[in-house]
Amino acid sequence: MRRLKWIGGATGLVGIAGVAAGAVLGVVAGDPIDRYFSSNAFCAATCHAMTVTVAEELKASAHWTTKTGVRPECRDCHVSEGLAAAYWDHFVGLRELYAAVIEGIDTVEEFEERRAALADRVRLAMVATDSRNCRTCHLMEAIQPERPRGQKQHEEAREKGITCIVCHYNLVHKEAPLSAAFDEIVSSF
Amino acid sequence: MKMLRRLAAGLGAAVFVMLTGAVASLAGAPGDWSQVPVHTVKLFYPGQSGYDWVRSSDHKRAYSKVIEGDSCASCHEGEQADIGALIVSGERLEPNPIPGKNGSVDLQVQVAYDAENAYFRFQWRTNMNRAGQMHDYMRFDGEKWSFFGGARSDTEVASGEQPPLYEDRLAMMVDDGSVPMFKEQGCWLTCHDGMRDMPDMATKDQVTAHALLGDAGLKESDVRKYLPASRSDEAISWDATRTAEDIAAVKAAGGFADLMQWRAARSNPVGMADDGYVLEYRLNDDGKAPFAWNVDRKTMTPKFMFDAGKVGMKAITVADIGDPTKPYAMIREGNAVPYDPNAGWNADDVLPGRLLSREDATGSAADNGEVMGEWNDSMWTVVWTRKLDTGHPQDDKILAEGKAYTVGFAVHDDNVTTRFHFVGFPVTIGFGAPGDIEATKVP
Repeated sequence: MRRLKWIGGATGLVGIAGVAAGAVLGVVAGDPIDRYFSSNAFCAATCHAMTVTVAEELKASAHWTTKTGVRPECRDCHVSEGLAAAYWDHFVGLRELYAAVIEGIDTVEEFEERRAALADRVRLAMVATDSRNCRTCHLMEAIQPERPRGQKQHEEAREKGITCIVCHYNLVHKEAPLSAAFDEIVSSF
Repeated sequence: MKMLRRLAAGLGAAVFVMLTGAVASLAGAPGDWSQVPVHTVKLFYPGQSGYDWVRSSDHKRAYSKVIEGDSCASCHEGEQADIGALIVSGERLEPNPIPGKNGSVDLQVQVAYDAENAYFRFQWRTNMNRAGQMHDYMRFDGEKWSFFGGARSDTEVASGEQPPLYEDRLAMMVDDGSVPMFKEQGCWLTCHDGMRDMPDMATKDQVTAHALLGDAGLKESDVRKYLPASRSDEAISWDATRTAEDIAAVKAAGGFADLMQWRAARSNPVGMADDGYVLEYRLNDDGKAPFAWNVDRKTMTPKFMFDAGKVGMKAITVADIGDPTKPYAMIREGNAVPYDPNAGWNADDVLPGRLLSREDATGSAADNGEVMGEWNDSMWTVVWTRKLDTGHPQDDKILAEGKAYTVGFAVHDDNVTTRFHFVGFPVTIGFGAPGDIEATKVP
């Protein structure tokens, strides 16, 4: 046991083992865990209110049926890239679990009451990250709008640094009104 | 003699006007329109994309630009046909799409002027294979008269219960720079929620009870075009009218839009267009317009019937509708005699519910007295003369050489009214001045 003194004895050993096990678990299972909790299978199937609302809206959107067959899942728009950031998003996302389980938000009506606030939170987060999740798939310099309107708008967006969500709100999910804060951002350009 | 009467009837009301000399005064118009450049103005189907929608967040991000005063064309020039096709399909901004309706129309515009007049020549293709010149018709059912037919947006017409019968129209809305943002947003400044066939349409009771628009004021029962300057709230709500004194001050300062409409049924047969303006409502100019009712709408008793001595019949029949050899418009001084209830009326007899008169039209409302349209092979050609200075600045835009004016064009085609028309982004017309269309000066 004397040999274990430098690590604080048996307690320390257990602690290190725990950390090591956690590290191993994190390396081996962290990504799959993140992927599961970011997947459509989880987001759209485990929460009744989301199953019959936003999940169906995604399926009806232009993001679901694409010319090239690219089909984003919930995580592509709503979970950050990188394990640490993703886990932080999942941690923050626990409030949805709290709302569902503790507050009992489980009906469409209860969800709709919160839709505007939820949409606003996502929009503001996208502004804060410069629409980072959009840009993981869409490269601004590679976008070639067909119509003159789109060409002009994208040229202006590049010049002024207008981020994606400022124009492309209410794109995938049912339309939700803009908050005063988001309206101020839109109107600032 | 009978044959001659039938022939006279077949000449139609337009020819009547020619015979009575209404067209002779067109002598100042360019003799050879081929020397005047043709401009194509793309008109498209707007659905419910009115003032409120273009300023709402549904108009993605653009709403803030619209509020700041950006022009519609700055984003949408060149895509009018695409927008029209999308909206007319019912996919967006049109809750009641009309089957078979086209999404856009090319309006060919030629403009000339001399020292006294502006001259316009318009051409556009119609969706129908006949002239849309039947309007507010009345049918006798064997016992009583009732209105017959209507616009294709009407429930009874859409269901097939009534036939589509509504006049074709060409409208010009003109500003001289006095109406803020008109140059950029044109007609979209005048179209609002609460109006007929727009979202949240005001009810008859709401309008008649309104102090300025209703029984105590303009005596209207619906809401029609109005300009933002006539309203007091931020939303420019239909019922938030400014005081009559405030509105009068805006009008006196020229802050109204001149609105002139050539009507295939209600003005063309007497060689005219109407003359109105938009401020707190879509109003007629001072004086008397070329058309009025040919029916007491409470008793549904016609006022005039056709003069059988002139046109060979006291009324047309349902089967005659659309027959170009039969009269289609009632002209007081031309082919009408007072209605005789004992004249022997049969089921399916039809009379126009509107009474036209060139002689009775007076004042500023009669300024467009030289406007003639002809329909041939699914194409309307309208030649329109208007005095540069009508002498009625209180409700007209006075045109002058060296200046440019903003004009919004609209066409009502194939039995429609209200939002179911085609409209264009505003264009500028210069008279000896730069403009999208530069009028050709003629001797």
